[in-house]
Amino acid sequence: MQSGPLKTNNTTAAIVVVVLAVSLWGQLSLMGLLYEVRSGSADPLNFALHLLPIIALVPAITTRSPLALLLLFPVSLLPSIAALPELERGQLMELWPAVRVTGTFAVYLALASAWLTSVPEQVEVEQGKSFRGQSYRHFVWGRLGPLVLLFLVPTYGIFLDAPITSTIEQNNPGAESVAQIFIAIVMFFTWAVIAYTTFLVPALNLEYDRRRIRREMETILEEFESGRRWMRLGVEALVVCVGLSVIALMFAG
Amino acid sequence: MRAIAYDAASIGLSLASLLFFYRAVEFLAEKDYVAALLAIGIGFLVVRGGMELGRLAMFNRKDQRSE
Repeated sequence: MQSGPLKTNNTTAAIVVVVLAVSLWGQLSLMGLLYEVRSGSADPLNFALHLLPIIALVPAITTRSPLALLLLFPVSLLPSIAALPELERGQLMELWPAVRVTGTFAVYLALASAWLTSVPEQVEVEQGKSFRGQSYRHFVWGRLGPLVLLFLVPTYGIFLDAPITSTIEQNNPGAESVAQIFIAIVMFFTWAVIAYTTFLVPALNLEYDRRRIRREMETILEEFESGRRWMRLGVEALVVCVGLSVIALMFAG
Repeated sequence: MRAIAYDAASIGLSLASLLFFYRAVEFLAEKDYVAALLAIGIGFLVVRGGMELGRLAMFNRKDQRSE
């Protein structure tokens, strides 16, 4: 059972997450939506793309789904950015709007994750205290290097790699820096989602996952011993063989 | 030994995903948004696979220590 203050905190956190998500949508898609409304010949596809994040947000909030809140909603903003008119996109990619959007996005990710993990994870963290030792540090520090590289290498590509910068110049004459910031924002969004879903969340739930995987492994072992798993494995192997044969025939043909 | 193999595969997959993200940047530079989205998706799946292997390595190490 949730206590009174905890429940109130959760409601407040939910409201803050909604406000931040709507603010993010407002900063990225509202200009495009208003442009479509004001221009007489509104493109229905662009109109739908600008409304897509809000449509994705409603079930994400009501179901409190981590996948929907932390992945689908941010990803749904990308087509809307791509559908923005050139002038509006140019305004968005100037330094301060870009900083404001990335700041809002970072705060949104942090608060949404805090809201998602606020109640159930308290128990897991307490149970997992004994697990925080050398293995835990090894996992975190071992993954931190690739994560930093995942940020640095695309950033280097966007701003410093000669073939990519020349391609950007060719495709965006007179607006190279705007295009660079646009690509940088898209890649930062991607990196933030990766960092959260594949690094931060697993690092917070290691003890829980260890128990879950152990349970699943025990179930699989029991299934192997009873013979049921072998049949499933045979069917799966057959499907893989057929798939590989089809691919091989495609290349041969 | 198995933990080391899992760990090496995990870091290898994480580094391999850099290729996909780098290609995604190239596609974005060429304004080929669909290809960029596909490359990002594949890169994401590769990173995710690497991270799962990393967790398996750690659980393996932990279980060996507790036995």
